[in-house]
Amino acid sequence: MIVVKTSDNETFTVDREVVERSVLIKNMLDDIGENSEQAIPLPNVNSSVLKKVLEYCEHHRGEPLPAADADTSQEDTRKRSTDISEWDQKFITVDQEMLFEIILAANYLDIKSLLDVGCKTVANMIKGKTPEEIRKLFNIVNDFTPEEEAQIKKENEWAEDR
Amino acid sequence: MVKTRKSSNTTPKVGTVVDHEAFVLSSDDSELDNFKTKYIASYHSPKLEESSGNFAQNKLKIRRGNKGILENMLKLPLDIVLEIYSYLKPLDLLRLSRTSKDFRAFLMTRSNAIVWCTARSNVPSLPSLPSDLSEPQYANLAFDSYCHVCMSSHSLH
Repeated sequence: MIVVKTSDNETFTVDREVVERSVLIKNMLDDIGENSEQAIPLPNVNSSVLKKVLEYCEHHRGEPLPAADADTSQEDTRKRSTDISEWDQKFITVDQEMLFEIILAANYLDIKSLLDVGCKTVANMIKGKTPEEIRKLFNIVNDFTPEEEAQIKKENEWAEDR
Repeated sequence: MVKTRKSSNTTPKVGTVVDHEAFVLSSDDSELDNFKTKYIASYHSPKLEESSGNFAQNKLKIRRGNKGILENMLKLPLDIVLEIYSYLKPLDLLRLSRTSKDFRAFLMTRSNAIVWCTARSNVPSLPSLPSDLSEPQYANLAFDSYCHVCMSSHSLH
């Protein structure tokens, strides 16, 4: 069992197999060796987020981790699907604050599959939306004048070529 | 003593109210007194406060639902933003580039062509980029649905 400690000083005792879905933690454990009893500090993750992340790791335990070098060549050729499995979809149905935190934690902890789920979720929210709908989604202020807005529809060159 | 909008904790979203305050606080003393006698009384009158209260409430109502649901996403590190973009299609990027000047500046730069290139690879059997078109031009030509001559969104011809 491995002990990890969150930013708000809560400790979690987790199966090594579960926690090792985080490549960050896996590498740490490989470095410090088996017998360390010290808690692994995770200063960028709070307990409510880690709880959620561990729930994900627990569900996906035993699944093969993506090979660090294999994914790049494969990814270039295949179409990037935004499909999310049913369980993951249910798991990621959280408020935006939590979704944001999960994405940041997955990035920090280096859990590629969870980061993918988070990014796909956001991408799916953007897909097929009009500029106005996207603005609403992100609370983006429209800083184009109506004239500019009509104009930019026609301007599709690179900024450098204008 | 000059307290600007930035240093006060009120958000600019409250709109008119904050603007008045900023004006009051940045004008010099004599002007300030004048301004006070002229406007502050009415400004603090219950009637106006009531309406500004309503205004805030209305704002709140409008903000429910989907609005601003992804606001935090704008603060994500660039590598994650790129990861998110990599799942989009060219038309989504084109529409993102038309939301605001920041998005436009980022997406319409040749050095970020890779974002468009990835988006194209998400569209099965799309012919490759013609040599005389830029990525956004191709996205516009291939996917945007308005009439390219009269710019109307309803194609009548």
